[in-house]
Amino acid sequence: MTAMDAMVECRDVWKSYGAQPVLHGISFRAMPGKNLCILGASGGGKTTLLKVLFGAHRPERGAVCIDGTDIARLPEHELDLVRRKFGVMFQGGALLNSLTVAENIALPLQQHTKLDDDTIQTMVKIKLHQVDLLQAADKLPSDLSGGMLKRASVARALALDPKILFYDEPESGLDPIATSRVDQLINQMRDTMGITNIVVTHTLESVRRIADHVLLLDQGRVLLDGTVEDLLASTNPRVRRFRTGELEAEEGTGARAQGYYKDLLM
Amino acid sequence: MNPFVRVAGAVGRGTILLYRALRDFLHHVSNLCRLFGSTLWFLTVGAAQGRTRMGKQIFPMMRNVGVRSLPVVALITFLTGAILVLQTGDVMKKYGQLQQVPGMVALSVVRALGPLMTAIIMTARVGASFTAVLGSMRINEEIMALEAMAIHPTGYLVAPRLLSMLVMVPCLAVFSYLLGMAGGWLVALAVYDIDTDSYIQTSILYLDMTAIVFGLVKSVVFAVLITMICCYYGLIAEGGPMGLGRNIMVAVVVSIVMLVVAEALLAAVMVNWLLSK
Ligand SMILES: Nc1ncnc2c1ncn2[C@@H]1O[C@H](COP(=O)(O)OP(=O)(O)OP(=O)(O)O)[C@@H](O)[C@H]1O
Ligand SMILES: [Mg+2]
Repeated sequence: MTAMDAMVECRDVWKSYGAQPVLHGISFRAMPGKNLCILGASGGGKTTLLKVLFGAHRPERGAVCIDGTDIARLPEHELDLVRRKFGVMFQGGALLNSLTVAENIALPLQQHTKLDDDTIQTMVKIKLHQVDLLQAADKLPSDLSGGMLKRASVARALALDPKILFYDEPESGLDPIATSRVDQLINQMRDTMGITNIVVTHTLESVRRIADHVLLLDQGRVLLDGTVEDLLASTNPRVRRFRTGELEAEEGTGARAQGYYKDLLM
Repeated sequence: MNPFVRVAGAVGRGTILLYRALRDFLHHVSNLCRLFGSTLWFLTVGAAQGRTRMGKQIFPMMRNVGVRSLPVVALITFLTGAILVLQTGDVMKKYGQLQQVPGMVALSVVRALGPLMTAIIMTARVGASFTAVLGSMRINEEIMALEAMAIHPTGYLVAPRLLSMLVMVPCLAVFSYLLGMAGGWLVALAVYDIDTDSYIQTSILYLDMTAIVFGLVKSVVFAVLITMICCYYGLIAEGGPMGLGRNIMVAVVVSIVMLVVAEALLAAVMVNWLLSK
């Protein structure tokens, strides 16, 4: 790894929901101006990791550094300063349903800058143009298609010109063309604005297109931390299984099946 | 089983349940107080420092909270005044006290029924929608998105709601005074032949500034109770639509109970104060 300072860094992060442990000591570094893809099985803790990274959940242990500041134990008002450096695209969009798309994108500008209304309107138009959504500016989020919702959510995340963008499954539920458009958008963010993208995804296709760096999570631990080539070349059976989509066949099927029937019959 | 053991077991379980209920109650009360404190901060210091930016939502919100509630508040308080005279007039007449009826209406409406009825209507009409809106925002992760954008949900969502309620509930209470007395007047005129002039004069005779001011102070307290309780149960909603529905129900019930309890306490305080003068 280079000597450059990481933009986002996790050191031994642990997180559980009540009694259910989800993250077991995650460590990784994301370099500035690069795309990092976080992969892993459904329910494996990717969204949880992302929420820890952008400060929505506090880890029980470990450090989370965003652009040099450890946010794991930062008081709320100081955390707000760090939050200005990044934007978040949520898995479900999470636009405010009471506002139109344009108003949603204007909101962070109205809240955090002293710009006048006209300037804000212009900036909103620029952001909407970047994600190719100008025609939907006055629609309510509930009237958008899934792909439009994701792009609107990216536009809102872009509003304050962040250094870092977090995306939670930007491609899920999209057709192949919409998927490549979102991927293209992510690459464009990196290439034209030098944004560090942290992308949670399921799609190997997208990983090939966007990832500079890959983090594969398995049951709350880092299984692989490397490049796309490392992922494709790895001979680790668990990595291979994830890559090819094989079902868990080798490890103790019999015992698991027995346990399953016992559970059913109880 | 030994009956003694069974009784002891039941007492033990009861104690544990009671302990849990008390602990939950204190937990909610302390969180509510903290929410109220931070809302007040956003309405005063935060607003002065330019950190509370409620934007354009405040006027539509006031219109919804105040103007749109007026018809139902008007209807119900008008009928309340009318019912008061209808239900007591015959007895008052029997004891030759018919001329006191307007005063009785004025006092009950201004001191108790006007503010309380208004507050209960506002709980159902506005409070429930606060819980529903904030709760669905919480479930859709909109609240988390606001926080991720460094927009404080208390400042952006709760503060404008409290402000609208603080302005509008006392205004509606004043309307409820007038309409309650108007309802009484209509029945007094139509059923008991009390003429309008003496109705107005007796009403004014009975009313004093204390009663009016006290009624208004009470409606401010009610506005705070409804807003904070209903917003709180919205902000902590979880468990999907079922959980949200449950929280709306709890918010409305808790608000109404707290309104009546506050009414009783404040009435006791007022009477104490009046008697000691
Ligand atoms: N708020 C919560 N409270 C309790 N448990 C939760 C909560 N959020 C997630 N979990 C649990 O944590 C685990 C990881 O969930 P997470 O959402 O991080 O998975 P994911 O990797 O993002 O999955 P997917 O790819 O399906 O989105 C799951 O078992 C889930 O049930
Ligand atoms: Mg997820």
